[in-house]
Amino acid sequence: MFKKRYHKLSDEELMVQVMDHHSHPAIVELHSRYSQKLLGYFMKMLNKDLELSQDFVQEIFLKILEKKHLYDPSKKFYTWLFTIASNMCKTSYRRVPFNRISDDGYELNQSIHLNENLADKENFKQLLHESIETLEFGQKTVFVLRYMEQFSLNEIAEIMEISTGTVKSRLFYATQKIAKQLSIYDPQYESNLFKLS
Amino acid sequence: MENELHKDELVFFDLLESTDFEELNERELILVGKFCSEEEYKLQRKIVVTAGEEQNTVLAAPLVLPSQKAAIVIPLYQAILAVASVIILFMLIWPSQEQNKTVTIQAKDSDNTQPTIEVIHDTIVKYVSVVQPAVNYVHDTIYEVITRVEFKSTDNRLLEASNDKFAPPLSKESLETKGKSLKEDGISKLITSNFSEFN
Repeated sequence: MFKKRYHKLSDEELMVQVMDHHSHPAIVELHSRYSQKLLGYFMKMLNKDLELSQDFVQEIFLKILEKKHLYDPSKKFYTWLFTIASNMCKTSYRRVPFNRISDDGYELNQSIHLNENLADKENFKQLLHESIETLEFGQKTVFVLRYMEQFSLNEIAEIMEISTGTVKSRLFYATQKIAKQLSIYDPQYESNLFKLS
Repeated sequence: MENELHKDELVFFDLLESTDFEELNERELILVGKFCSEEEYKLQRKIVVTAGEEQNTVLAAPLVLPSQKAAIVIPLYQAILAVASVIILFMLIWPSQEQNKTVTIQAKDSDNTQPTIEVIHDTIVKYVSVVQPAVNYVHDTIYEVITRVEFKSTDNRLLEASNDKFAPPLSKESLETKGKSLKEDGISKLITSNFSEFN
């Protein structure tokens, strides 16, 4: 008789609606809030596979409906959501590893950038994404969540179920690894290598 | 790789996330110098900053949920109205409990003065012929005799129905519990002997 104003409810209140009443309008509202962010996350984690990413967005909300009893209302919803998303990516990594290049970056898509200046921002982004793809799953996830999705260190620690120190450590080494790969194609870096002191 | 960073590394990590190389003070420059060159720091800083600039322009597909068995929710007042309507309907159409219903029908045969009992389904209809006194009759005039029909009430009809009309007559044979043996029964003996001749 009384139509609920779902858009005014918090994420956690919506989840309570889902848990208690299997509410479809509540899950649709949560989807409208997070689908775009999730799609971006999946795209980055799944090597820009749009079709797979769209499927994952659908699947994660169906999982929420199915596993709603596992949600702890005292915790933030979106942290739980990204924990599931992260686990889905992990499973996908086990099935189909996305790493296409070796640690030294030798197999990077050279045709794109060999004759172009790295200062070009788009090229740099392209190379950056390719380098991110080379990271192992744990490092890639923290890198994407921290620098691309702007999660806090504590949130990442909660999502990944690791300590904040481990998150920092992974970010530290992930950034160094990417820098090492990108520096090979950075003319400025090369010129500095041979610069006479 | 999973080991936690020591103190200087943690400071370097915080600087990398927050400060450009040009904004580092002398103490920070010395600390950064322990880990990397200016170019390396700038490159790592560029990686951290550029990674956050990526915007997703593709729209997420609308959510397709499995069909839910629609739970029919009937408001309380509608349920009460429905129950009340059903009760009223029953009260209106329920047959009245009149004990003796008397109807008058025309008799087809005025000469038949014998009472007849006719069973229609499970109802006993008793026709009672009433003959009017002849003193009032005028010659060359046709009179119609009105016959009163009584419908017996359901409760009493079995009691009031005369048993002698339906019960078979009791006789000595029907009460007999023993039959004749084959030896004494001439007809049976004749049949069996004829049957054996055929075989």
